[in-house]
Amino acid sequence: MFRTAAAVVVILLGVAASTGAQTKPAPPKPTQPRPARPSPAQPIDRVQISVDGAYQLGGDDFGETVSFFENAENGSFSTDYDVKSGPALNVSVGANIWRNLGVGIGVTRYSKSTPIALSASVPHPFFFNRARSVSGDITGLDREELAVHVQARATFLPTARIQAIVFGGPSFFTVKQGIVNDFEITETYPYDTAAFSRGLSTDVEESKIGFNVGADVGYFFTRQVGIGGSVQWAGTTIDAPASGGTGTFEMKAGGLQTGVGVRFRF
Amino acid sequence: MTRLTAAAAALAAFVLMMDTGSAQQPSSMVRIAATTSTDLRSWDQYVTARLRTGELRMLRVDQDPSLPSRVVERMQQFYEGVPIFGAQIVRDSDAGVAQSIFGEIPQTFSLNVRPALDASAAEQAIMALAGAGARLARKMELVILPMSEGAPRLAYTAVVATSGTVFRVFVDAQTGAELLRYSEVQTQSAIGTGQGLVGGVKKLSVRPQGGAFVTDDRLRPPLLTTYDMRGNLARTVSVVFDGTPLFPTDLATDSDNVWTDIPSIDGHAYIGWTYDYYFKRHSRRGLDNRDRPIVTLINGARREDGANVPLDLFGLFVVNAFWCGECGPAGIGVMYFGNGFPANLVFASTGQNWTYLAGSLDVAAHELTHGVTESTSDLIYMNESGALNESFSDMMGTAVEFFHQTPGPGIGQADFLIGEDSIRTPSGIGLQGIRSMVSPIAFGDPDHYSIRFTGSEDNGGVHINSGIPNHVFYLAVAGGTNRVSGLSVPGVGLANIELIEKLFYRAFTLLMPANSTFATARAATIQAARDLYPTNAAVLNAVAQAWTAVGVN
Repeated sequence: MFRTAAAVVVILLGVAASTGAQTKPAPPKPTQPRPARPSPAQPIDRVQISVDGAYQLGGDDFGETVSFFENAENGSFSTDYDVKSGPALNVSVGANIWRNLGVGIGVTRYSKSTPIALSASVPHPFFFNRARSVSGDITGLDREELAVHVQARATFLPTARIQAIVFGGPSFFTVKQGIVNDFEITETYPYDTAAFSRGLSTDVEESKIGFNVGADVGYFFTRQVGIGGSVQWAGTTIDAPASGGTGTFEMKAGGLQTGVGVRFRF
Repeated sequence: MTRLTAAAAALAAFVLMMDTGSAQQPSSMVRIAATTSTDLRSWDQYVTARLRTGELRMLRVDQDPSLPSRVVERMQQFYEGVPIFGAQIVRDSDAGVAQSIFGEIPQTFSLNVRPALDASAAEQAIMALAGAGARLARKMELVILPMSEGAPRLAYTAVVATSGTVFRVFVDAQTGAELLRYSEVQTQSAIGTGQGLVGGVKKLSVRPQGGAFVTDDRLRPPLLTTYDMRGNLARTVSVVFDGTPLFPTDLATDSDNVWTDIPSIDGHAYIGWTYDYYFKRHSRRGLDNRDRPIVTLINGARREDGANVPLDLFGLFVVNAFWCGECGPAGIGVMYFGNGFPANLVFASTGQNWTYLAGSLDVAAHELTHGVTESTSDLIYMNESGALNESFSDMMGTAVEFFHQTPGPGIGQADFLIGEDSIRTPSGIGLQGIRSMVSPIAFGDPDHYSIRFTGSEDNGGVHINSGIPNHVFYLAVAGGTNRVSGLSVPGVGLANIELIEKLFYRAFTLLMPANSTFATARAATIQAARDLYPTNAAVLNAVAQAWTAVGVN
């Protein structure tokens, strides 16, 4: 995965560098003075800031199957976590360090409840091989993602008012996910059926490195303030400790994010 | 204890209403016991506010059948998303107005809820504490544990089962050190396992007691207990006939809940299975339909001692199983299973060895059905009514087999033989069991009314003439031709045995008088068929023709 991320970053930088090298400043046209347009003597602003209200598209759903020992027999329950699309906050700061190439750092925070579908096979207390099927939905468990993106950036100014940035690099994810680690049933004699009562949960918090890649386009009303939009994919796969106490299960973090917000440059 | 009741100062009451606690009570706990309007107002506000913030979460909402307007809410306290072990508040409301609030919650504290140990490391720590052979009986959980001294601690907790005990243990989530452990055995029912005489491993509903497990079924509605007489025949006789008391220490016991004593396994399991059959098939709640306790005695005489038991007791306590509704302590009624005699001995007359009678499901169900009959038609135990009494027990014993076992001729399978799993020839050749509903004459019992026993032995042949109605039951189910009359009967088929079971149950428990004759039984079962299956002529014909085939008109 890191090789892939590095390759993406290298390609982006290569494209950006070659694009930058081909930039040929247009000759000034005295008859049409346009103060906002950069001139060859006016370098690209060194610092770019974007603050976006973003929307993270639903990531990959995930789930796990847990075995347990109940009524002298093995049972199991499976949980399917529906990772929903939801709002996010995306803030990034970048600075050019050589011509139009630079580095940046961004932060994305995403929080959303995760509906969970549970299905279980619960052994019968009196007889072997007569497990009861139980299912239920669990709500109220949240996912919180905090990602810090380190970016290599290339900035372009197709016009004086428009700023485009492409970027990519590693991302550092911390994910806190409410996980169902047990459940309760209601059952009465003769116990041939059982009904789901409630899920018991705990929070799992894990960190992992992934990568990000994306583009940002801004339109500036003034030299330093504008609006813009961004598209970014940032993600990783996290191995979380299994609810059964041994092993792990996979869950994806991040995803495709689109955002709009304000832009600053200095 | 000192109680400082709350002022009405809203949520500040939290720190005002406190109890210094007892020796078992962490001193940092706050005891809520709000029953006055002032206290209730304060704590009601407190609860409502904490429910909004998530510091309290609803565990359960119950209604009290005796007070239908009351709603009892049980809430769990959380601290930064982590449950505080045992910290609950219970609010009883009437039409939304709090009537009482009780709780035990910690005073304000501050705690880092990020554990240094992950779940895997914590489990390893717990397993290391529990020792070899331990397993998690319940999932591990991260909690905040109020301490008897000092601040609450972040802890992992799990219920661990080892051979002989079940306990809850807490380990520090930062260091893995043990914080607390206590036995869970007094509050649990448990499921044990054991290999009985036939039929593979069975589950047993038992109860932990004193570091072991005892045959006390707490999951079925009635009290089902199995007492191990440990080969003390004199005491067994005294318990049965003199009402000598039984004690909890007399319950059959096993240290690791993997049972090995066959009478304990089969006796305890099959009594439960029989209760299950009556409940599921006939909606009957036990022997008296009111969940009468069933006390079972086993191991009155060890199998190896069976041949040495005095003859006056041999027939009753060695090669027999019985239900006695008036026997036992305070006349509670007892079920007894004999253990037979050593495997190297046989009865000369039949070539059969008798082993654990508890190992035959039909025997267990047969005996308990005597209890059902006793509380219903109470068929007089002599002559034809007595034979009907015996026959109904055979019918239900067979029905329970077909309910729980796979049909077939093998050991541990459902068939129309009685006692075939416990009473066998060592070679497996020849007669197995003590009676046959297919061919009563194979055991010397009549299969036609014309050859019925008319002597006075066996209470007028109650175990002999039962062959006639037994054969009726078989013919009505499986169909066939009576050996004497040559009349053929179209049975309803084994797949429809339930139809015949229900109509015989209705007739024998509801319709028949205590002194019924075979002719009365014929009329009652035909009427039951009409009652239950008015549009199913096949059932009516099967029953009527079966009685006709055996010469009862």
